[in-house]
Amino acid sequence: MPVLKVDLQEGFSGETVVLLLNGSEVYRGTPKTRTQIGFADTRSFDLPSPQATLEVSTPRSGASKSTVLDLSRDLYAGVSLAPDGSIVIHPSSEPFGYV
Amino acid sequence: MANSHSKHDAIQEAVARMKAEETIEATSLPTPTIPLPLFLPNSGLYTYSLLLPLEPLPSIPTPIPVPIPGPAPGNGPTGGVEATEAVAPSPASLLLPYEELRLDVDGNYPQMKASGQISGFRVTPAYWIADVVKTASNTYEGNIWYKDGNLSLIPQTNVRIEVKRTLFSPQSAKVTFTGGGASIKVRAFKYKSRYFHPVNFEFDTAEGVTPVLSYNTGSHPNRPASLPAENLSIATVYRRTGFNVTISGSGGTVPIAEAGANAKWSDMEMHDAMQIHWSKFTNAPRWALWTFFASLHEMGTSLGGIMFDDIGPNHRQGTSLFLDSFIKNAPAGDPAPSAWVNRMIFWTACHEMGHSFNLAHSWQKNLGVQWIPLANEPLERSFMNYPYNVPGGTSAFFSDFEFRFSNTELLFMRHAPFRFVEQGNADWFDHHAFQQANVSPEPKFSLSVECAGKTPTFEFLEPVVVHLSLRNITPHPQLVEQQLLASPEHMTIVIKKRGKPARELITFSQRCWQENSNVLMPGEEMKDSVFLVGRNGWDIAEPGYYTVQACVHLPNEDIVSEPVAIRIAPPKGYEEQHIAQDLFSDSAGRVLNFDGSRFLQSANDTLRELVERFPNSKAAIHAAVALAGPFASDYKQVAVDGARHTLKVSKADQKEARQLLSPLIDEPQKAAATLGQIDYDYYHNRFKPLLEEMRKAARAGR
Repeated sequence: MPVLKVDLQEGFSGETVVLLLNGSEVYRGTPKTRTQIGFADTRSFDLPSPQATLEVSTPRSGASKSTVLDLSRDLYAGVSLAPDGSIVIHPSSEPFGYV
Repeated sequence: MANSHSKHDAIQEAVARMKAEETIEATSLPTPTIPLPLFLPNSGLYTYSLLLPLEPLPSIPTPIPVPIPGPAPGNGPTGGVEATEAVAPSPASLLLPYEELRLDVDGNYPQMKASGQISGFRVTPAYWIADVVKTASNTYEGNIWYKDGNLSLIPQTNVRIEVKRTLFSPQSAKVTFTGGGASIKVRAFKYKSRYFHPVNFEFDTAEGVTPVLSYNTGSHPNRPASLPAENLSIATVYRRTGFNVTISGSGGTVPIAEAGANAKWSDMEMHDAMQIHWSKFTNAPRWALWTFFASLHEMGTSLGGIMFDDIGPNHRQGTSLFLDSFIKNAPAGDPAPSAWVNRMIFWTACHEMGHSFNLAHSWQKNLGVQWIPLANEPLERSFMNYPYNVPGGTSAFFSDFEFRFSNTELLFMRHAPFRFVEQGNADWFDHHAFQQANVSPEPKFSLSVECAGKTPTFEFLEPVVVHLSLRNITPHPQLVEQQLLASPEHMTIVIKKRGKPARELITFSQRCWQENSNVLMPGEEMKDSVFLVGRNGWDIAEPGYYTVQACVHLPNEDIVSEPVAIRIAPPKGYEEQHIAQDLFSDSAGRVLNFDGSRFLQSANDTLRELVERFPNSKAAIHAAVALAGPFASDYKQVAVDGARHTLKVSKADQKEARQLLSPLIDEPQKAAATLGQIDYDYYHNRFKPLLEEMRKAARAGR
């Protein structure tokens, strides 16, 4: 079964972040980015279906972004908050590395 | 046992090699041995000191770095020495003056900059940076574009540097400071070193790990054609960056037991190891860094290295590499996988150590504390950029990477006020980069920040309001946008608690105004108030000392205020501390900022409790005004019921509003002192009918 690993990366400073997978809430937290590695938090999910809709939102600011992910094999999604508060989702077939 | 013994030998040998390099000056050429005498460039550190006692200057508090009136960088030298008369009093002579000059005009990666430090006995020092060009043999001139610290010590705006040298080495530099309406100052500096700052490195390795302290730059075919093949050490990288690197210790081994039962390192375990094994450990700022080679962090294979030391009072003294992480995996099909891995580990080591010098990632340059937004450098071929994040990935990155830092990073490490760079000094990410504001040499305006209540001391819980004042300091009328001081997008306000990082005020709202201009006559000023709570939270809340500074961004110039010191008094008791936990919240801040809400009920409950339990406090006045607002007139709300939105109008409750607004009538001076006269007058105008009724009732009652 393919694995989806979602990394919360740049721009998080303690605001509430909610992740929905196919409409179901799978994460609610207040991540903070460690700027020296550009990483805040991570979650992994085993998903049976070949596709999944990932929605990321920050309720306080009202920002939200969703994307359809191809899960034919393991997938890694990097999520960041841009300085203007918008959400950026960056899928990758390779795991993210932090230094 | 034999294997771990050989790994232990490996780090000891590598450390010994780097120590041997200390006796050989590294140059930009991969010359394995350099014949003596050396040919030294003009670049480096020069010093000036005078031991005779002279009149001392009074001590001046250190402000947040303030860009100063001066020509924008790149405008070139003024040419020659200006014969100016001082129009402002020149600074009194210093007691035991000491100055440093850092000249950066040749040698490794010259930045064509000159910078300096001016200090004296019991005097806050000043720092300056100039762009310079070569105007004659061994002569450099340029404009000073950055000043920090005690600005009275560096009123001049131009610098001319004449280096005197032998065939092989600089001996001295005559520096002439001119311009800025100040007296001409001439200093004779003695050459001290080809490096800008010292730094000490100590390397340790976890049991069972082989470190990489050097890399053969010719060992992998993917490299720039111009890159010389050499056995490049970490120490040499930093020497070429401008640091006089010394190596301490002999390459010790840290027992794996210190990583706990899972044999993976947590930040706490690494911090403990640093304190135990680093021979130079001391909780104080110093140019020294501990680098630890380990196997894996508890985060797993996704973490290749980290500058872990971001806790406690002294950050950035320790950094770690994890050699069994993803950095050990060469891509499939790589022509030289062993060399690829060595290169990746070497790059990661220099990268993590770069964080200890307070360097952010190349794509983070515009984050964190800044005066002016910095440009990110996402494509830069620097140690501080991820090779796998650039277009074309690692292959593209290393095809034109020259094992160096970027020019903006070199500028920072070599010339920024040293407290921003030195390990253990400024907190991680605080002042990781700096930028000059666009300050005119002849500004048309001055900006001042003053406490709304005229006193710089505030009660605990009392929200802080300041007044901004923009004054026309020219002899001519000046046009200025009418709502300039009410437009957050046109200003930067920075708040700094003593001992903590500076924070920028991010207001809750932005307004779009119809453009209208005001005319400010000579000497005339415009004013507005600023509530120092925003989306960043309550940056002024805890007892202690704070500094507030503002910058207004006009179309052609920035106007920067002097810093203002503020003190928050301690709480009077446990009760105040208890309510502070609810008051210093985002929602309470919003209610106070927007003068009330009928929606944010928990914040309203807190403000009501504040009014009831602390009726004589200044904070209660702010709370009462905010609670009164929604009751003073009919209140509209959008009610949401599923997809249905309706407008709901709540009737005014003027009896409630009158009761809450009574401080404005009963104690007008106290109310104005905490709200500030500008906001007091605003509320007085806004609630005028109610307040008139209250006065009438009061007169009738008599």
